[in-house]
Amino acid sequence: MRTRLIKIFVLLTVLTLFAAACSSDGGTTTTEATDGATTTEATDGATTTEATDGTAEDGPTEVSIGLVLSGVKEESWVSSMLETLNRIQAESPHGMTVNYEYFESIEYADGARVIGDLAASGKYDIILGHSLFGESVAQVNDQYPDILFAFSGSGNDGNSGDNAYWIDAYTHEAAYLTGVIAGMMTKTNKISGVAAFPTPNVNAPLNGYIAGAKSVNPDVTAKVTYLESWFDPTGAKESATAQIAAGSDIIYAEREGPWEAAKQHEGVYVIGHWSDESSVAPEVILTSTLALWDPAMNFLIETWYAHEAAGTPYDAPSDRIVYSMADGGCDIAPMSDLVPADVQAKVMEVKGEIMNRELEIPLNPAPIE
Amino acid sequence: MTKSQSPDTSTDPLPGQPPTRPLRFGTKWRFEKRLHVGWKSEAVVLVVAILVAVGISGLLIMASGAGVWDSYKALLQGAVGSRRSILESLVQATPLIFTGLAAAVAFRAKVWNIGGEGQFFAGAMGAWWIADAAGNTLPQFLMLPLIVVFGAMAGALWAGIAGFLKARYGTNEIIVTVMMNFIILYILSWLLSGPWQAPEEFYFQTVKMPESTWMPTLFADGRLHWGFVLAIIAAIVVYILERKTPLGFEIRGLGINAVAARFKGISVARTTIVVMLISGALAGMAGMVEVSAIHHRLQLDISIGYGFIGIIIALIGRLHPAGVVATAFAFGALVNGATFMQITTGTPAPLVDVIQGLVLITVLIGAVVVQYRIRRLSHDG
Repeated sequence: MRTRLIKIFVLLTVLTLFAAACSSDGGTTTTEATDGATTTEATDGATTTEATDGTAEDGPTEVSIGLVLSGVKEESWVSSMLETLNRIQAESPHGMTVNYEYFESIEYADGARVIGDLAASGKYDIILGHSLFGESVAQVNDQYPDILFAFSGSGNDGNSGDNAYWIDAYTHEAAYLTGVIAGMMTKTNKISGVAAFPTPNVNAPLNGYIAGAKSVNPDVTAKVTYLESWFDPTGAKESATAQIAAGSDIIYAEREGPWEAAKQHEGVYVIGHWSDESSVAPEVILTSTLALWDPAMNFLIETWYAHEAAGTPYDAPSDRIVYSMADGGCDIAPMSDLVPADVQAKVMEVKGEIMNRELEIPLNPAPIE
Repeated sequence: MTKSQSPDTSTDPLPGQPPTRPLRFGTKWRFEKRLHVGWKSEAVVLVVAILVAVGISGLLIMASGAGVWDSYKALLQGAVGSRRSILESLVQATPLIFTGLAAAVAFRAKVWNIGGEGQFFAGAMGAWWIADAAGNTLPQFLMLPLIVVFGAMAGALWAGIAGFLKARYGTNEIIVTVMMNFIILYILSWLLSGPWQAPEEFYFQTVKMPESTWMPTLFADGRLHWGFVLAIIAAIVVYILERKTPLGFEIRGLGINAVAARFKGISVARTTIVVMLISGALAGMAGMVEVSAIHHRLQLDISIGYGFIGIIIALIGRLHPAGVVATAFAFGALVNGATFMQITTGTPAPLVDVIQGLVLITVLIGAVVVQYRIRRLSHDG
């Protein structure tokens, strides 16, 4: 008996170790899920707007958004969406109270079940799978015709149409501006990127960044490392260290982590991606490309509002809904003081050209060798 | 508890019961082993263990700031509160029944197959491969059994490697099966980034299987599929195999005392390999149903750790097929109810992982405790 027990406990130890190592949901995500503070803020906004805006009286006064997240809220891809929703809460469209709740670390294998649970609860007007949940939405949306479903990003075979909307954020224009910084600031004429998978949405900003650098410095050469993971800060740090060893002094951090390598090397700087990363490593981060989901989310909320207030049927386009930089779909974060004044001036000049639509940055989704 | 009881079971010829030396504390009390543990004591201990786990989890819910009673109510409601949720709990339970049975069969023979996760992926790959290769040429009534067979075979082969190495070279199967979990994932990663990758796609995934290869659902509403029926059949087959067949006798004999089994004329090497093949086939079928009934394509993240959870389920289910089915359903229901709990009460869904772990720990502690009793010694020198 004792032998058996000892073996079971040894087994348990092995098991615990592997469960910890192999489960990708981190296990430590037992943080608070609902955002109480922002809800009260939105209520304030609602009361003030209602007083001034008499036209909203027939429509709904509240919209509830359920967010299904593949990662945790600290990841910049996720936080770019949460920041957008916080801004929309403050803006309070139609004087509505905007509530949102999010569900972190939902695995692809679990997507349809979780989205189905959210829909079945009847608590949410809009359900957004913020990642590769296109197929998961497609399994559910027919059963709940009054809920507006959406999925974001590259889509992954999601069939948009009817009440299933596909939104995306193109960031290549903003990334081009960060490339201008890189091209002017690099001393080695070697720049690099650390990225997730060679998917179109990953490649496009990197190509924009490289094109931006070459536009001001034709001698620049660029290399990109694909981590083949959506979240691997350790791997990202190692890849960045290798890029630095190969002479690169500006690194585009498409994923979290490269700044940890840059901190250990003099004169190496990093550009953040998706949301403003400057608070993570202010000593090395020059600026960040920002994905702004605001126009897309406002479009979804307007569509839902029209459906609720006037009975306008949902009729999602079969293609993605995406906005250019001039339409507010992306931007760059305020530049750090590490960026010299002449470089900042050049960036603002190019940005002006893009905003006036004088300069068009081509979308290039091809993988970088 | 001597140091020689190493985790290495391969070279250890499993001596019979080591002599138990009673543990004494003070001079008046003795901690001694029971000669016989009745099912009533086992049942009481199981209930107490689960209550303790639920109680500790309640403290965690309180710490997270939500109502304990409301959270548990929501958890239960989300798990079994409606037709939809019951069906979905069964969907969640299906792969867990398979992986739980896989672990239970192996552990019954004291063959420590920790490779359920790898065999899950092997089964998924086998199923997808045949579906992709023959899906458009064969009719559905031929295709589905073929997918089941290929899924089971692929899992069996992957586990069989570890079984062969143990039987032939005495290699420790714990280490081999654990390592092979990683190997299969890297093989799959390579296949999905090259030969099997869907054309014109950048994601690590295959094309979708033709619809004729999808396992049909049982009811018009919900996702419950025929894989669940297969899982129940598998549990019955495992029960009959273990209790009513000569092979089952050999498997149990190997688990109780390998030396005695050898003297009795049971081929330890052969039985070890057979056990691994059966175990791997069951785990492979878990991967097969997930691919053919749920995802319809291969991806790297089609498993939420089913192979590993299966080990926990086998242990809580006391290696009995009925216990495995019941535990798998409880775990599936927990996972399924978790989202609803978070929706209605704000209690974070990952708490369910903690509950599962706590139940395992308390049940195992209970399994030890129930075998001992504390006896008062009236006069002890």
